[in-house]
Amino acid sequence: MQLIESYLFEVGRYLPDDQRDDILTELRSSLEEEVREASGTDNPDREQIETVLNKHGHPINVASSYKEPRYLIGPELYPAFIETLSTIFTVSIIIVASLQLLGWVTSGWTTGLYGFISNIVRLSLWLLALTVIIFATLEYYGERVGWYDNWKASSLSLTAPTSFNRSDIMTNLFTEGVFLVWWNDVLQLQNWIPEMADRFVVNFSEVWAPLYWPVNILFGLWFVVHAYTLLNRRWTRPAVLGEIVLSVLGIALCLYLIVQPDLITFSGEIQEFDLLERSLRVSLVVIASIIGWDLWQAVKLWNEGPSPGLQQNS
Amino acid sequence: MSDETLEKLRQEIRRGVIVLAVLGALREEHYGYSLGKTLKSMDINIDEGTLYPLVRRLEKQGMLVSEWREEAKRKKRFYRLSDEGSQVFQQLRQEWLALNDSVTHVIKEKT
Repeated sequence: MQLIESYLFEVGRYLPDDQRDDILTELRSSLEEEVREASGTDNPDREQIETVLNKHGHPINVASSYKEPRYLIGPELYPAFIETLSTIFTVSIIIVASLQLLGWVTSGWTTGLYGFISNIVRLSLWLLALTVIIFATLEYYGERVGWYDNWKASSLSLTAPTSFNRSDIMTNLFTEGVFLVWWNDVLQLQNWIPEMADRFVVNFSEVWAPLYWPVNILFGLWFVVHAYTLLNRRWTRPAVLGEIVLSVLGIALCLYLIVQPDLITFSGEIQEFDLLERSLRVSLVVIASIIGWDLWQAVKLWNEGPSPGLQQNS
Repeated sequence: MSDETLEKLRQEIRRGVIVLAVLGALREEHYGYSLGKTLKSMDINIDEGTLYPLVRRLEKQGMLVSEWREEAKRKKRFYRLSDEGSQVFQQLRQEWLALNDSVTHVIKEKT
């Protein structure tokens, strides 16, 4: 029966101190009786004992079955944890990214692209760590969040679930962010292809100069509308209205630029200046078409509208 | 349906009634191993890894009382229903019988 003692020793390693002796005494009694009955003798051989122990399984499994299930963040808190994490991630990252963009516009590019990414990653890790600590503490003390207890069906939106496309919004946010970074001279094409920097110089013509702030404001507002929609996980009426107004302004801006005589100034070895100018105009047409499509979608959403009850409330 | 899925569903059905079966069996005094044998003789197979911890939990909840005694020169812990456990068992029993009737009605073969 020494094999049983070895098994019990292994089980005991994973049991709480205050229950170990009690559980092991009871388990020893049951195992010995089980072995005796299975083998039909008071002196069973090793193989017969092993058969019984194999049936009980790994000592860790046996020990863990005596413990209450413990979670770092259990199934009851997990949905609230994910909701919280998602909300504070989105809000914090939008605030930090906006502040950095504002800093670049007013004071110049100080952190660099890697600095920007590093700040975002560091912030995300801190937020993750803090949220996990808070929820793990709640779990440890058996606390439950009561956010969902007072839920009312009247809080449901009548906007069709398909009207919110997360990929579209994420793509828009990414495009607007990259555009703003480029528009504010943070990223320069010639820095990306340095071997060509000494062969030609391309600049925007004076037509663009008065558009610096309007474009920043337009894309900044677009970024805010899309971030707000991502956070809400649906299109709200004010956001759809904002999207319509901004889209109209965006198309007007593109059309205004397309009809201007000179969009860029160019000097250098390469002679295909006209081709570059035409490419830019074609790009503006494409951009205007994309904005036009978004405008069409937004108008459709606006016409679908919420229920009369929601309209009264809003 | 895979065997694995069937086994999971089977376990789900059994999980709910194991407590009732154990409380029912412990109207008579038993120690862990003899309780398992008694249930097995009634075609209720509960593996020891589930049964022993369950009995301890029920005792902690006040449903059972226990006593260490020596039998055949071995220390054994005998369990039986407490007064509170008896009341709970009667309520669960009524609940089970009513549920059993309803479910039997729902799943009966259609002619």
